[in-house]
Order: sequence, then C-alpha cells, then structure tokens
Amino acid sequence: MENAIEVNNLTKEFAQIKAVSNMTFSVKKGSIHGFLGPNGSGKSTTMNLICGLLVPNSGEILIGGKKIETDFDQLKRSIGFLPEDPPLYKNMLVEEYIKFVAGIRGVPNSKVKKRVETILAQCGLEKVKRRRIGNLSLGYTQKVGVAQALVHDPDVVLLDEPTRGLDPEAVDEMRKLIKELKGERTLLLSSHLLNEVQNLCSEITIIKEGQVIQNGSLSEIRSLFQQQRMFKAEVRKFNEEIYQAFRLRFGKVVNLNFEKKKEEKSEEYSLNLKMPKTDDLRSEVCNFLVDKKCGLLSFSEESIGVEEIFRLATAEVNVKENSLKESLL
Amino acid sequence: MNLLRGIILTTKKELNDYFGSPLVYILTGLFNAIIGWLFFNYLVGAKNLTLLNLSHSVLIPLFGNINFLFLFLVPLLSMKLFSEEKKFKTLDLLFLSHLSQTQIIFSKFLAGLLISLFILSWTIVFPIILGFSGYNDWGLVFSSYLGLVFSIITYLWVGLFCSSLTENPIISALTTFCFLLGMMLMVLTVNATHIEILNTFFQYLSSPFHYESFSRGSIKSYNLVYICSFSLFFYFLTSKSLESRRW
Ligand SMILES: Nc1ncnc2c1ncn2[C@@H]1O[C@H](COP(=O)(O)OP(=O)(O)OP(=O)(O)O)[C@@H](O)[C@H]1O
Ligand SMILES: [Mg+2]
Repeated sequence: MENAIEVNNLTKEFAQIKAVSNMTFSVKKGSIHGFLGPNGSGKSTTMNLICGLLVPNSGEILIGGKKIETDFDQLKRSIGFLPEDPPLYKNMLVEEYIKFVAGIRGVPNSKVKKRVETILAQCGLEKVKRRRIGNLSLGYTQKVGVAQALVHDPDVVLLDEPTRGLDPEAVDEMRKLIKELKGERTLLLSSHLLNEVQNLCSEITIIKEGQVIQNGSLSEIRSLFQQQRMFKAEVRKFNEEIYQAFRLRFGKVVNLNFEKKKEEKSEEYSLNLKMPKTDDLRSEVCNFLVDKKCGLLSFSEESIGVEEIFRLATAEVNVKENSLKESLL
Repeated sequence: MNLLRGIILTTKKELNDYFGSPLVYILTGLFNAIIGWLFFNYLVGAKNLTLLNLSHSVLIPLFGNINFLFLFLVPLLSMKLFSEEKKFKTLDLLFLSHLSQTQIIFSKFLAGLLISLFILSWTIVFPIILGFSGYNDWGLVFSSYLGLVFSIITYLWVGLFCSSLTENPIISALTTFCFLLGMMLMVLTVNATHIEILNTFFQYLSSPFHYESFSRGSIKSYNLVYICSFSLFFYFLTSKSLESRRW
C-alpha cells in the first residue's frame, strides 16, 4: 500500500530545544494512524510541520508523494488540520464560522449550505449552531474545531488531540465520526487517551523527546512487547489440591494464579494464566481443567493494552539512556 | 480559488468584526465631534466669507486637521488586524485555506481602508454646508479628499505591518503611531536644515509632504509613484513578517 504521509529525517529546532530530531515514519493511505508520546515530546510540532505551517531545519515531508515545502499551495487543499488550539473566531456564531471556513477552503458557493448542514449534523453541533463560539463549553469548542478541519472534505486529516475535553458520550460519538471518515481518507491523530488509539488505530507511532521509538502496526508492536501470552479463565471449582496437580502437570512453563470471585453469589474462581509465546498449550490446559471437573465457564486471551505498550516503550528508552549515562561515568 | 471571492469573504468577516465592537462607533463619534467643533471655530474666525477665504481659512486647515487626526485613528483601527489572529492562532486557518498570502494581506488592508473611509465619509457634510451658502470650489474639495485617502493608505500599510509583528494589539498601535509621528516630525526637522538635497530627499520620504501637494490641488506624478512604492514596500515587509513565523 502506498504512503499518504512520509516523514524523512525530520529535524526542527526552536531557540534552545530540539523539538523534533531526525524523525522518520510513514502513514499508510486509508489508515487511521495513532501518534503517541508523553507531554512535550514534539507531537504538535510534528503535526504543524506536516501541514507546512512550520518549516523544518532539515529533512523532508511528502504528502501523496509530493513535497510539502514546494507544493504547499496545492497540497494544503487536501489537508484538514485540527491544531492543538483550535483556530476559532470567538465572536462568530458556530454556523457562520463553519460557513466562512467552507468559503475560504474552496467549497463551491452552491454547495456551501448543504455541506455546512451535513458537517454540523455529523459533529453534533446542531444544538449550538446559533451560539457564539466564545460562549461555548470546552467540549463544544473542540467539536467546532473538528468540524472546521473536515468541512472541505480533505483526503488527509490531522487531528491533534481530538477528544480533549469531551465527555464519554461525546468521545463515543467522535470515535464513530472518525470511523466513518475512514475509507479513502488518511487520518493521523495524536491522543492522550490511549484507549482511544487502541480502539481506532491500526497503526501507531510512539515518540519520545522528538524521536520515534516505535512505529508499525498495532498488532506487530503488541507482539513485540508481549513476551508471554496471557489468558483468563473462569471456573466453578478450584482449590489448592487442583493447583498442586496443575503445578505437577505443567511445571514452570505455565504460570497460574487463582482467586475466588467475591461478588458472585455462587462459587466462582478466576484464573490468570501466562504461557510462553513459543509453544501452544491452550488445549492441554483446557483439557486439564475439564478432567479435574472444575466446571470451565470461559477461557479467553488477554492482549496487552496500548497503555502498557506505551509505558514499556517509553520506559525502555529511559533504561537505555540511563545505562548510557552510567557507561559514560 | 476565485481571487475575488476569497477577498470578499475575508473582508466581510473583518468588517463584521469592526462593526460588532464599539470601538468604531466611539471613534466615529469622537472624530466627528472634534472636526465639527474645529469647523465651527474656523468659520467664526474667518473675517469675511469670500470664496477664496473659505478655502484658505476654513477648508484647507480643516482637511489638514482631519489628516492629523487620522494619525491617531489608523493605529487604533489597524492594531487588531493581524495581532489578534496571531494571538488566537487563527492565522493558520487562513494559511491553510485556499487564500494566498497576498489575498490575506489585501483583504485585511481593504477592510481597514473601508472602515477608515466610513469614518471619513461623515465629514462630507462640512463642505456641503458651505455649498448651501454659495461655496463652489469643488475641485479643491475633491483633491483634498483624494489626498486624505492617499494619506490613509500609507498610514494603513504601516499599521498593517506593525500589526503583523506582534501578538499584542496595544503594542501594534503604539509602534504604528510612533512611526507615523516620526514621519511627520521628519518633515519639520528637515525643513529647518538648509542642505537642499537632504531636504528634498527626506521630504519625498515622508507622507505629509505628499499630502500637501494634494491639498494645494497640484498633484505631481511623483506623488503617485510615492504612494505605489510605499505600499509595495510595506506589503513586502508584511508578507516577510508573516512568513517568518514559520521558521
Ligand atoms: N514555538 C515554540 N518555541 C519554542 N519552543 C517550542 C515551540 N513550540 C514547541 N516548543 C517546544 O517543543 C517541544 C515539543 O512541543 P510540542 O508542543 O510539540 O509537544 P507535544 O508532544 O504536543 O506535547 P503535549 O502532549 O503536551 O501537547 C516542547 O519542549 C516545547 O516546549
Ligand atoms: Mg501537543
């Protein structure tokens, strides 16, 4: 699949700090790409660079195979961007503002009205369309910001923390909206809500201090960080005796701990199992539980969350750095 | 995108902004009160109301004062044009739109010009009042207004440039004002020296000197060259200043 966005050896320095250093990653066409990193790691700066609103010190950015620096005037038409601070005119009405943006972003005059209506409905803004933007709550301001980025139907959409300030229901709506947007479009979204990324994105890039530390499809990265497979089982009956038998049968290969569920009326236990990725012992474990008449209720695999990956990935860099420092000392 | 549609859209937005805030109404009221009062004083002061006298002791000083007052008005009108967009980060929206940088700058300029003309337009009542009592040197009135418009254009370009330098409207207004006042004082200082070349050179650079040829009714081609090159120069500075924020 071809790449919608390609970032090659990008470096951006501000007065004292290197906000982005030698960053390389790509976003596949038609994918939803998550962009993660701790505060101040350079996410917003990178997004501004991709949009051509900032000029990098070195490196290049290709959108649809064309360089943003040289083809800015043409490329900007296919970009929709929600910056960290949404660019809103505080004393305009919501509807008036979206209409204005549609106008300057080249929606033909005859289609403006229809387009504005659709986008207001899509972003859940119909209720507030006659309100002044300056008087809106944070969540609604954010929605207006998203509407602004989508009104001209762009191919490449960059959203910097689209779910900031939204309540759970609105987050759900936003997720639905983003899923609807997929298709031909390419989305790059940075978010602090790692759950969001997990549910939406097929690929992620994790950065730290301006450098890419992980980049690839979510499942790939997941398996990289998941040394062991984790399973959860629920059973009716379990006790120390069965546990010992289990230890005897599987030894140290499969790690098991069990726990009685407190909230259930009838007796129920939950088992946490960890087994190596290399040999598949699922059926053996199940057979064992059935043989022991444990009353197997469920057996399912637990995959590690993005949160865990994020923690592990960013921690890994720290470890590397620390060991480097130590070796220098 | 269609060149005109973009400019019309953004200019309209700017004008809505202007008329949505009380600043313009306050300035219009204050400005016209001062000019009305001056007009009355000049009229009373003029001894015999002949045609020549009306031009020289009422209208020419009156227009001179209008020109001077715009030195204060234009910085206040232009201060928000870019600084506010920078402050609220809305400039990026314009840059990512189909508008070119030239369109953005010109629509801002046009909005400033239109709002200045709106304030200026009320002063037309004073020559008209004189017209009722038989005054008929309309050529002078016309060239004076032309001179005022040209003055305002130069003031506005300075204001636009200063506004693009900062995020703070007050600082923008102050720097514009200082620059314009400096230009005005330059003529006075230079008039005091006797070095011919220096004299002409600095006179040519300052906009009040050019206004004078309009108000005398003798427009020279170098007046027009001045306006055009002044505008172009400040357009260039403004666009460089806007580009610099990407670095
Ligand atoms: N205009 C600027 N001038 C100087 N430094 C800047 C500028 N913009 C960003 N920085 C610095 O660059 C670094 C990266 O900032 P950036 O806003 O890209 O981080 P971020 O990943 O978006 O963080 P957050 O998650 O908090 O939004 C920070 O150290 C920041 O202080
Ligand atoms: Mg950010």
